[in-house]
Amino acid sequence: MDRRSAIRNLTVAAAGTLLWAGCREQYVNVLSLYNSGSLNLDQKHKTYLNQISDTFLPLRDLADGIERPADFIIRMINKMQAPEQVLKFAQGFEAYKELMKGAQLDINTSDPRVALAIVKELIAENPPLDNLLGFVHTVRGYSIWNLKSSEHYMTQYQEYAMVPPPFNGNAPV
Amino acid sequence: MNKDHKYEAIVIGAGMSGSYAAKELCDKGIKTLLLERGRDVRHLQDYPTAVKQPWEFDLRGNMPLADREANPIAASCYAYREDNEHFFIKDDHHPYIQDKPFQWIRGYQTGGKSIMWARQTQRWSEYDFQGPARDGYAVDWPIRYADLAPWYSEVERFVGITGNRDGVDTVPDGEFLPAWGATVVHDYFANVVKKHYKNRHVIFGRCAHISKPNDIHIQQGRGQCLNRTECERGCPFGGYFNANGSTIPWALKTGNLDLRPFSVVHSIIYDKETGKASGVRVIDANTMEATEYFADVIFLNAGAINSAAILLNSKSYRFPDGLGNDSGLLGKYMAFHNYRATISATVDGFKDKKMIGRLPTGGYVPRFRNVYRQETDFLRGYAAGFDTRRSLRAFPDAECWGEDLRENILGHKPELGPWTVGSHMMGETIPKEESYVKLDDKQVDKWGIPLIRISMDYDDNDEKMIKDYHEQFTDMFEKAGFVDIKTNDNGRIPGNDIHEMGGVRMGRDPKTSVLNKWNQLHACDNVYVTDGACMTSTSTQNPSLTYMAFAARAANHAVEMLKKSEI
Repeated sequence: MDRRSAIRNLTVAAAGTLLWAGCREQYVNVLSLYNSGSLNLDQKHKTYLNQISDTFLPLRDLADGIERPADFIIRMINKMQAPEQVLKFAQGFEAYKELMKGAQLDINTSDPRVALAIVKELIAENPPLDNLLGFVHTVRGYSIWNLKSSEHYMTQYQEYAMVPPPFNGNAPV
Repeated sequence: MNKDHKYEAIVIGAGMSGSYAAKELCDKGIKTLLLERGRDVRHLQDYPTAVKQPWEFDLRGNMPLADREANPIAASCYAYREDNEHFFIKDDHHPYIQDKPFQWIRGYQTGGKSIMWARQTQRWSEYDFQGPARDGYAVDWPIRYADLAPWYSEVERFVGITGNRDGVDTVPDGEFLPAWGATVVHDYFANVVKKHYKNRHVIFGRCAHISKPNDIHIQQGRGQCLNRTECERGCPFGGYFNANGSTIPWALKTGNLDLRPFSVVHSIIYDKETGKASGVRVIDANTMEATEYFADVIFLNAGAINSAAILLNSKSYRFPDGLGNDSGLLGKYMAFHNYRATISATVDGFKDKKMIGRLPTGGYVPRFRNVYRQETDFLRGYAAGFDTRRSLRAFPDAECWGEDLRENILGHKPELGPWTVGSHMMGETIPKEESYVKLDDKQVDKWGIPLIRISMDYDDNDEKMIKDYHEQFTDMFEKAGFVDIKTNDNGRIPGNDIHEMGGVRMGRDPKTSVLNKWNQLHACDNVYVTDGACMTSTSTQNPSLTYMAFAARAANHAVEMLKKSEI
């Protein structure tokens, strides 16, 4: 089964379990939330962004010691990016919504594997880096950064301690 | 004269060297006023980020883009980060004019840059003090290593310096606390260099950390360094030396010190009747109120550039071009350290070994070029840092998404990558008359003080030194069998090394220098300058230890002179 067929099948399966017209959330355009170089997401879009992040890097079951990704991503976007990059991110976010809407996916209720398959298909087509693709990679990148700079990861995986053990530069592996 | 404004000594600048001078003066019973243009940063209370975890910083340690764009000078400093940006001067708060590009990194507060310094403390050697005379640049230093050695010892004992007694004549041994152990790769490289090169050494950098506190450190309320390596935030344990946790509270405890923050020094007052400096004019940084303070002796420790500028602004009938400027050289012969060259490589081996814990210092390669004789087509030489590490391998794979990505990151503990090594050059630059600090004729700052103009640059000597460093370290790395060797010229702008020196240089002859062998102005002997401004040449070592040794020596000289009523 090729990639397109797989996506189609997943989409049909997901759609079959949902009543699309009745349950789809209504969202304002993300661009309306952009103002003077800053993107101020409403709660619905924060939830949406959390869902996207969790689609790219599923961590929902590891809530302790990891900041909610939408808070981290938006803070980093607003503080670390130039206004034109923030705007592109907002445009990319809106394009992402349109992509999912075109596939008749509800981010809150659909199988995240379907959304992920669509994104992977998009990347596989290797298009020029537009706002949509930029958004996708930015969300993924910041999601990874959020995880790796979290208390959970630094203490459980990197064994970080503010006061480290005595130094040994010749320790056996 | 307001008698409340009369002291025996005034110290201008509460940073590294000024605070040490104040401590010495107060220890000897001298009533001292310590002036600081910035705010008061109190030990412990004013280290707001000292115990914050990395994940508690909004931007994970990074500075916002808007801040970096607004402060390109401060942001160029490696240490300017989310956790300690409050200790750095923002670009527009204290503007200056760059006649040539110069990144002036400043910390205006009690403690100055001693809060954020890199804490490397190698002594100068006899070769460094002999350098200008032997090689015919600058002027001869009026002192030799033996003059400063006992003061190095005193400072080292008080400050707390870790290090090995390496027996290397280019960086003499001192009063060391036990050094931490090095890595297996450091030791390997040190042995390779020892085997293949005469008079080249790889040692462990001596640093201002307390590895094992002595009584003098406990009396200061300081404890053992816990290797947190968060030093630039201020250390709640006093594990590294900064003036805030050491010399300033020590001086305050004597009861002889008045500390006055927010005191911008306009100029030093010259009394033509006595032929001495009588005090300083101060402008309150907040209220703009002008005040005068008076003293028998004045120590100028505002930082190399500001010290030269204060003297240039101290004009009188006797000194129309600035206090002590009979030679016309005040503000000239500035220099800095050349940090442009770096090299890195991968180590193919030692895969059964790793590092545990962290270290606040690393390896150090003392200067080996042109030490005993002139051997290259450039003057002087360079020291180098040498770091070894074995880091965790970066994940994830760029193609991973969803559960695959999660598995890639969380499915296993991060793996160790190979050992890597890196080095950076610390080159001596040649002080030149055209490298200057001067005052602008028209523009003034918000306190009405003329803006400072700065001009210094690299020259052909520096370019040759960079090339030689790359060649020599490539050779050393190849002999060690390191692979994937990469050299780099990072293009650093002068000033970014944070080691600006000169402008009020010491010398034997009043016609060619501004200070004498005791750091007194030749032409006004109750003014001492013991910060970076006094430096006749720069050598290669990180300079703060030497500034403090100069301050201790000069303060004790001043006390003797005061007792004899000779100044």
